[in-house]
Amino acid sequence: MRKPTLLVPLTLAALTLTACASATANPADPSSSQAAGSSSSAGAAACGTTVDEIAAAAKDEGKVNLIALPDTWANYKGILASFTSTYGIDAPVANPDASSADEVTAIQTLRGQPDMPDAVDVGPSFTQQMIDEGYADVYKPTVWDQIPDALKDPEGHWVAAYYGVMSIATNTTLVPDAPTTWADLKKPEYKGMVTLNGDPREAGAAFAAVMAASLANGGSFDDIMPGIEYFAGLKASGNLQTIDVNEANLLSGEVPIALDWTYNFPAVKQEMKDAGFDVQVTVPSDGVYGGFYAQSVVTESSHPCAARLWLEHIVGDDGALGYLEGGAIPARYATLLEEGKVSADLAKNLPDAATIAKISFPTQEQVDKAKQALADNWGPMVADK
Amino acid sequence: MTGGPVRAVTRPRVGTRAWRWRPDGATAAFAVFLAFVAVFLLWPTVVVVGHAFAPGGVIGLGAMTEAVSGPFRSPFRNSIVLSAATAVIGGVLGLLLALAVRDLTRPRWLRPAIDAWCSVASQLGGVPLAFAFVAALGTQGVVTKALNAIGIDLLGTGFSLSSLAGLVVVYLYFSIPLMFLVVMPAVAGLRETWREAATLMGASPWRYWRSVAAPLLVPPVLGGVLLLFINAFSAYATAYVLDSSGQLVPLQIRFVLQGNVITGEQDLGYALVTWTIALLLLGLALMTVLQRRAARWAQS
Repeated sequence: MRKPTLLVPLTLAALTLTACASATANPADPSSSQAAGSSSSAGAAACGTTVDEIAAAAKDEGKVNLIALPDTWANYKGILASFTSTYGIDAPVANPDASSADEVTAIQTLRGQPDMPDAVDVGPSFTQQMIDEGYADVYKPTVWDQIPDALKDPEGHWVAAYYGVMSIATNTTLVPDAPTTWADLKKPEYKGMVTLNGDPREAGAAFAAVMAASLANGGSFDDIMPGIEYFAGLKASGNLQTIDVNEANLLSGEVPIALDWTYNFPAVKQEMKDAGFDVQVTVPSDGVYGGFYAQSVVTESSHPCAARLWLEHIVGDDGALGYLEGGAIPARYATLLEEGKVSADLAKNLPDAATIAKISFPTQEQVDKAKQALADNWGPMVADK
Repeated sequence: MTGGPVRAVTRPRVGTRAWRWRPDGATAAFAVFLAFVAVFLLWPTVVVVGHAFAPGGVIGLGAMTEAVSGPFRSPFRNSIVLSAATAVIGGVLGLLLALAVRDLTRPRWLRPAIDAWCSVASQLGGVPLAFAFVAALGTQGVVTKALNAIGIDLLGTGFSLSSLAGLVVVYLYFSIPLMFLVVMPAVAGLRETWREAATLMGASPWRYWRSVAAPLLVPPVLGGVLLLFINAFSAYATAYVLDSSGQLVPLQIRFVLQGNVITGEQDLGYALVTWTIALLLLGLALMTVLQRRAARWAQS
């Protein structure tokens, strides 16, 4: 008889708690979507129209809450430092290693609080969710016209400040003969060496690797299957290993060949050198795939002007050159080239200009289709083998 | 005990006495515990189960069915195989270690050293544990290279830390000491005098184990094995580092809930969690039944 008497108050407590939670959440929903519509126009008007005006308005707000920007990712460390020193505005980054899903969850759970992220940097597959849930505010930065159409939402819910290219990074100390194409990776000499950064059902970089391999093997943005088959072959031959690509595994030599974005390596390169390894990063010539991350100002932000200023900063010259330093290609790369702002030293981390010019991006529908194919086939064809 | 009739504890009359209730230390401690359990266990569980059975806000079994069909079937199979292998092997080795240590008196420092190591190792997990094994048994690992030097090609045998067998080896590192800690009190409780008494009454060593020692040991051993199973089933960070493309339930939950690629499938994630909870409850029920049987055996 004891157990039930204990269970009753426990269950009651749990029920009450959930009831409270849903009771507080429900009335908030309709109001939040209304506020989203009004705040975007009001916020933009109040902040001003030139970068200087926005900077002045942002200065009064004092800070901008950012999230999921690792220091070693596309030189965010440098970009954040130049933002703070240029504008004198604090830019704390919550949970630097968070995923895009974490970012959306943070907005959901911190809605209405001063700590809610004011601007986000999410994978392309999250842009639609951000718009649908009313989290992505409309903001067209002052350099809007210089951003290629593929790298912005026509209505201004997001811009992609930078993109990277899928590359093969080889620890040439362990593997002197570095592979340079997707076809090379199939050679028996690379047995147990080829490593994806994560699982393509989860990680953007691994997804991109499968897409690039598909392009190299007769597939297209509409057909990722050749890529899945390619990796099934690598798994069967034993070339593909499934250990995680993290700093420790790179520095210990456990990951001799990593498939990842170009912009993830400049920061790691130096550390690898200190650990006694040389690294060579190659964009495979037979399958070139670029991937961007999208930046949005978040609706109902407590620091709307500072969030807009952050967007201006990353698409502006300072941010763009910062991305270049980190091996990422800024959205306004063509403009920067024309204006002669890209020095040879900055370009050394990038693939050649002809390769960059060839890069195009899949549409949301194409990405969704590829995701579905991966969700259905990656497990049985690759992971389970 | 003064004179007067001994009365059963009387129920306080509702309304008159209730306001006089004063919390004592035990109640206060229990209330804190209750609050923790309610906020961090019960509430999340109710929310998760609620979402799992009402995907998209409409009551239905869609998410629950999807979570165990098609590509999600093999993660459940793999997780169960991995956890069962870890639980059985870890359980046997942990019990043997406890039995071996029981009579150990010399060297004096050894017993406390083993106890201390077990307390630490049983709680070691996650990324540090994974990396310790990578550094030892990985492709560039110290042990791998040492074995290579004496002509044994570990990797050539097909061994990989990313495989299920590799994960079992890694999980055993915390499972054996955990089992040791769980069964040690029971093993230590086996009095030498009982064995002597049994011998005096003419029991063979086999009879002593069957009728005296085993009935006392079986319930804690079963409990320990279940603990190992649950522990291995829910281990997440270690598996993620060693096999980031793993077909294991905790990793699939991550793919669905936390990834950069799959979006808007939260309900599927909640359904996977619900199935996991159901499986563990089933294990718990099974163990309870077995332990009851064992208790009956002890009485006979």
